[in-house]
Amino acid sequence: MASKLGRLGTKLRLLMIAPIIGVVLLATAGSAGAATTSVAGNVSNGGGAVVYSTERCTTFTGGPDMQITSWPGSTMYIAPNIDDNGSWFTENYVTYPQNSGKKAFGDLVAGTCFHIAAHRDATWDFWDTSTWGGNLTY
Amino acid sequence: MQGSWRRRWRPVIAILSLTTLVIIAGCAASGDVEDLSNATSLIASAESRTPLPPGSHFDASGFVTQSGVSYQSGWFLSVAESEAQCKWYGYWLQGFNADDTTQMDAAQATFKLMDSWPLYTDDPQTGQYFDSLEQKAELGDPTGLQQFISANCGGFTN
Repeated sequence: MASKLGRLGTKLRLLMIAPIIGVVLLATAGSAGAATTSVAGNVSNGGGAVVYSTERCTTFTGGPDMQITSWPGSTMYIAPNIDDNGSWFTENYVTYPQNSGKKAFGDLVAGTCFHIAAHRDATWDFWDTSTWGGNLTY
Repeated sequence: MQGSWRRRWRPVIAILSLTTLVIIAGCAASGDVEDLSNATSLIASAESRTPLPPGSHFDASGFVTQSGVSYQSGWFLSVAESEAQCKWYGYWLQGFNADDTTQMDAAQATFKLMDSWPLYTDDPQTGQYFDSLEQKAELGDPTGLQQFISANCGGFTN
């Protein structure tokens, strides 16, 4: 009898733990396969945008995430090419250095491939560095 | 007399030197981008390097560039390869739906060729992702290619 009650207790504990395990598994599955790599591109002096030519495909929904680690002295914008109207910087962009933490730039469904583009504000800022670098999680 | 000439022209020479430096700096910064004045031949070259399924052709709208935007070297080839990838995936699915193994085999042979494209090799993770979809298809499961087309291809499937 005691042994039966013990087995029942174990089953109940397992039943209680199962939803927690399920939630943890779902949370990790969402980011499974996500990779973080460093990327670097250039930003044209004079304000024009530069599109980074390598395509990436995000492995999770809600990203990709970008953390910029270096940018030209002036304000820089970076965006994936997902704007409905075909323009790069009308929505879904991140501004640096104002938002210099890790940010989701855009909201893509897992499996969506994208290019990224960067541009800067300073039209006459000829002397700053014209490159940017960061970590992309996708 | 000579010293006075030099003094008079010194600001002009300084301005000219500065302008030259600015131009050189600007050129150096833009050396890694596509020359859009030469876009027609760059697009033609990208298209000629990228095979499409029988009866298919490139859609010009994919190559349209935005004014005021520069594109890093390799952009046009990347566009051509992306479009071709969608069309080859569509070609395989068409064969799968029609139970046409010849068509599926032709697409699968091209999948192997595509492995060497910059689209696949520039970023290893991206290449592995494409390979995983194609391997799934080769095992008879079309869902990976279907999802890819739904997420990425818009009208580029024929």
